[in-house]
Amino acid sequence: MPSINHISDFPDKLNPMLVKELRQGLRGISFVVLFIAIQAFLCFILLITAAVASHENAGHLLSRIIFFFYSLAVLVVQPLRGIGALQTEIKNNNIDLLCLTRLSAWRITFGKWISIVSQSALILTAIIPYLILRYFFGNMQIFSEILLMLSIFLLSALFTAGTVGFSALKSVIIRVLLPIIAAFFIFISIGNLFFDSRHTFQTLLRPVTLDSLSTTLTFLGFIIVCVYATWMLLDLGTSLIAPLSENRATRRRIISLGLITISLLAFAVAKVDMEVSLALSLAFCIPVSVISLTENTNLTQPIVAPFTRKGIIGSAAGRALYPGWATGLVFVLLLYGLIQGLMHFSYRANAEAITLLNSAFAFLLFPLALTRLFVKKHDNRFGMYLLFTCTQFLIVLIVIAAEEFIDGGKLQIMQCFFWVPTSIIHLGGSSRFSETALLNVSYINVILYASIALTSSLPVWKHIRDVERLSTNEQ
Amino acid sequence: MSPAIVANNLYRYFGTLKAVDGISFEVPHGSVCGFVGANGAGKTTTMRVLATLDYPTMGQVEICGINVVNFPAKVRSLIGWMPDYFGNYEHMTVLEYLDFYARALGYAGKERQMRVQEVMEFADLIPLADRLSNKLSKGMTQRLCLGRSLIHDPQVLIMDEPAAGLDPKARVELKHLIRILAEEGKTIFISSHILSELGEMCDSLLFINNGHIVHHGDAESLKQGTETGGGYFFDVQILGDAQSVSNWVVTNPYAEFIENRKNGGRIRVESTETAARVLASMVKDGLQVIEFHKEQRNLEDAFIDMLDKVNTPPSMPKQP
Repeated sequence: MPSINHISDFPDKLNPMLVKELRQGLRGISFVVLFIAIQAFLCFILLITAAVASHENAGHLLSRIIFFFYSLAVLVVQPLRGIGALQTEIKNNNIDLLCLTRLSAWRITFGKWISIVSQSALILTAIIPYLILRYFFGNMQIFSEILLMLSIFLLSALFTAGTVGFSALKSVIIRVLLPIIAAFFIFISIGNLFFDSRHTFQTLLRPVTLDSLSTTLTFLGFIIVCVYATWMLLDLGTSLIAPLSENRATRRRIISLGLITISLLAFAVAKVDMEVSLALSLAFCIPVSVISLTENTNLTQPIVAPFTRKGIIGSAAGRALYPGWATGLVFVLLLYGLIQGLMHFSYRANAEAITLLNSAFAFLLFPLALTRLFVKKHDNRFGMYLLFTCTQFLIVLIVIAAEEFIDGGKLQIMQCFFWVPTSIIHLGGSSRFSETALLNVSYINVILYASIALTSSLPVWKHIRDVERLSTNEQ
Repeated sequence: MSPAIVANNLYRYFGTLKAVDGISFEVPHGSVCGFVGANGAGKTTTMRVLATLDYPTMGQVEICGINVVNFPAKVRSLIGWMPDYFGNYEHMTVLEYLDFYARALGYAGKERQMRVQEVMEFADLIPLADRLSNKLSKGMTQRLCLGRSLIHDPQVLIMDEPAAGLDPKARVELKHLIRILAEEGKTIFISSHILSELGEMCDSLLFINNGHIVHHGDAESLKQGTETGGGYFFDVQILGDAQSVSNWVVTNPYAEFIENRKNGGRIRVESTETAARVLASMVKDGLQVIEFHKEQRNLEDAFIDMLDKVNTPPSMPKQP
């Protein structure tokens, strides 16, 4: 067979999914066209700029053009290539074939993501020569511009994780429409950032100068948040395609719990501002909570077995760590208690901070409670959850508009909508409620939505007990 | 040695839909078992549970003695799965396609090349090595799929409608490959709508209807209908009044009249011994029998008869 050696073009150690995606992706028209188009555009622009090299802003203009095309390629085009990543495998019935191999669902999703990211890396590498040429035009902040380029690359990896993770969802609105709308807004923002004025570009470079401890810490925080969010988004896609025997939830929840605890304690020790500490812990908390509250509850014996083998302690831990929205609810309440406790003991948090914390958790529980009340049987749990999340904002926007346009702004009806968690932002700003009243309202919201969700989860607990019993009997 | 496939009281419900409703069967090692049923009967659901792609609501399923629920990874290394439909990848040659699955199954280096080469030779894919996998004909695609399912040399092959949509030539080729695999000692569990072909290549047939097993036996017993209480059908032709056959059967408890025919009628008897007795009685009673011929039902007829029998409510009176 003449061509058998051809299959050794990639080393054995590479993720097979990456090998497959690279073989396909590098031949795909979208990548080839994008790659050549960028080169052509940049060559052309460089020649034009060289012709007007005497102009004092030529260097800055060139930087902005390079960054514009680079951002367009890696923040708009490349992430959009992930839209069909997992859905194509699902639709073509290939996901079953893949699951029957030794590839775990994580390696499948990760392979899809890393192949697009590595193609973005190729684009990054292709851009670097132009940056070097741009250096000769003067006025270049070389370190900052390279760091900005890497930051954009990191954001590209995050956006790609978003499209790849969402690509496992059934809903076309979330899977396709949402990323396209987001891409459109990103495109507009890129245009504004790089062509609106020279100063905007300088503002972008400032945080990546790393000239002070605060900019360095901010940059570090940015990297950590990007990595965490990327992992979460990929894990969302992974859990959607994973066979029932693969438990993704436990590891994800334990890591998030650990991360939140450690970061909160570290912030307290380093005496970081309470607001920053709260905001960061909520940033870590929200993705894992959303995924946990939207998981399916198809619990099987192999998943339960490692817990039941550890007796009552294992079984109790399982109540917060088994896959499924019901245990996810317990996990989210656990996180809530943990952050409440740490905020209280480390910072002696004031009413405003606790109100914010309560509202954030009520914001997370509200869509779950509504899903459980109105669309119990819907199989697109994540889509429904997002829909009710958006509803919260929609209600508040409608009420604000009504207050503004009816009766010349004298009408005050927002307080009637205190049960919508997002209304707290508006109510807090308008001083219609005292600080204590707002705090009480936020507590009522958390208790109300947690109670609804907990009550509707009772049948799930029965199912969990049945599976645990079967597992214990088999042991 | 435990059987290759064991399903014991297998249930799979989707909400209120009982896709598989308490089926039990065994398939011995090295045998070819045909799995037959109408659309929606529960075939694919059962096969997906066997292949660890779905979970039983209740019941036990074992492949080579290993429980599919408790040890899915071990079971996956023992089975090859050929789905009824799959989409080939764009911009990927046949060779690259097989190489990808070989990598995904954990093969590396020379061993990977060897496995890919072996399955390409077996499934006659070598001439197609550099062809794009999404530009193949249906028959070639099925050969590719078979090759893929054989990369890790599985003991049990589960094939869901592998011959669907194939032209006669491709069907013969596929049948030939399956026969070779069976001779090599692999256990093959295959579903198909083309019953005549299943009859030729299968050691046993498993019929499923509305989530229940309605027959498990070889093709011969099904054709004769003995396993489902169908008895034997005889075409009786006589000289003289054709109606005499039905008149005679009314007075004879050993035979059942089925339908009138040009020179006689079609009757059913319980066994070949009874048939001999019936023939002797007919002659003794003065019927001028010129033909007494045992009918060989084809599998399609047998299947339809069996479904009719199963779907007929027990309270309904028997047809005369």
